[in-house]
Amino acid sequence: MINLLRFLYDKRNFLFFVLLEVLCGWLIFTFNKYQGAFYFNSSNAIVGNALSANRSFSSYFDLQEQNDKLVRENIALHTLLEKEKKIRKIEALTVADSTRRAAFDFIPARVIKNSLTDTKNYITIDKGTADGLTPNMGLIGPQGVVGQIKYCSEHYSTGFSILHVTNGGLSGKLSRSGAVGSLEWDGADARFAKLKYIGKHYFIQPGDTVVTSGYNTGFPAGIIIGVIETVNDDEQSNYNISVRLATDFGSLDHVYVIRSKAKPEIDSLEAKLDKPKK
Amino acid sequence: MGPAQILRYIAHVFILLFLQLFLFRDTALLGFAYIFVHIGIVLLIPNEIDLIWSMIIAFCIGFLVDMFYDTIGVHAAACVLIAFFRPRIVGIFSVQGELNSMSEYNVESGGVLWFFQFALISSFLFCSLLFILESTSLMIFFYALLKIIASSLLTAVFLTMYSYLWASRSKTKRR
Repeated sequence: MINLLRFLYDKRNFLFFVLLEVLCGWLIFTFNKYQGAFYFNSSNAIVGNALSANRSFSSYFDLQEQNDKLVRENIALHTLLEKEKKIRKIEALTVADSTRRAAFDFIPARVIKNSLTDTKNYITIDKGTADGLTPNMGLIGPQGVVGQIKYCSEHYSTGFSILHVTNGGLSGKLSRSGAVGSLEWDGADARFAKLKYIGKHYFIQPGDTVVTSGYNTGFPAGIIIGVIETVNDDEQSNYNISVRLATDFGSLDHVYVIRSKAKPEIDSLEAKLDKPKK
Repeated sequence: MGPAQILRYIAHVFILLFLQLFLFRDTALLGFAYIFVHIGIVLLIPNEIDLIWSMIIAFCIGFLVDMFYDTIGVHAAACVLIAFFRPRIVGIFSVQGELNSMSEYNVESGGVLWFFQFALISSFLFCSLLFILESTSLMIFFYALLKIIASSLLTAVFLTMYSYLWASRSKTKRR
């Protein structure tokens, strides 16, 4: 017994090392799986405040670039508005349809933390439940799709960016051919993602635009995701497509959270399918 | 361990944490070389501190950094790893008598090259565990290997420069 205790005492450093590593392993497997459902992440108050202060200071350095981006976006929106007005004039003559009313509205937010160096990247923004945000809302930037909210505290929210390996995939549509696939990131380059499950019966080529399909209830249809960079047909039935993402994740600052008015209705409808039959 | 050394160590903690969390958090040179200066806090722990306590310090630093990276446990595990192997790493390329006279493993006590080797091996260990824990499949294994080598080099170079600056500062003070 004495010998055993002496042995344990001699090896106390090593045993303590193993203990700490096991604790870390437990932390990794418990908390990273259910990202968001717990307290020690960057949407908690202390870390959130520190990051906002940091962001508000460092944002002065790229004001010019951010301004340019917003101006460009304004121009694009104005053009869209004009187009829409023309369509409205025609529609007003036909049917007053309740589904035609604006189904989405946008909540502006600023990115206070954004990583692109990991294989699972998260974005933290400075709006939370107090501003009407809920999990699973879509997140877009001036250039295109950014990600999806996963967890909200009162004043901050954190979510996946497109650059997230285990992300279930974002439904993307090729605007020219209409083919719908799943956009997934392979963890390598922050500028590119893969568009999967596009069958070889479609004719596609580099330069085709990839937009949201509208199948994810978080995003309206037609928001730009990126442009096809390369197309490979070395796989069996599907193309191997590499998409250059529209959003430059390195200089992300202003983003918009998409609040879908139809989402609760659609989700409750789909939830009925998941219920087991009695 | 005098109050001057304790103050100096506290300065290391604040300076390196600030640099890592607010300046280098998303820095990636060429897209794959990251920099993790907070491991300097573990490397520069004064020698009089017991191994168990230095592992506790390493765990706390790692945990704090994890909260900013949203990777709870990953940095903590890697920091504890280098804290545990620190005496062995130093032992590889130095004579026992030398080590006993050092109060802290830095450029001032061991020289630039000596500290660089020490920092390089430590950051290699750190980055290996970090990127292995992070990589989800074998597909990106070679990419992870590239990240490990580039990041540990960059981190070691930075920490050597950091420690060199402290060494030259205390030299000018003595004159």
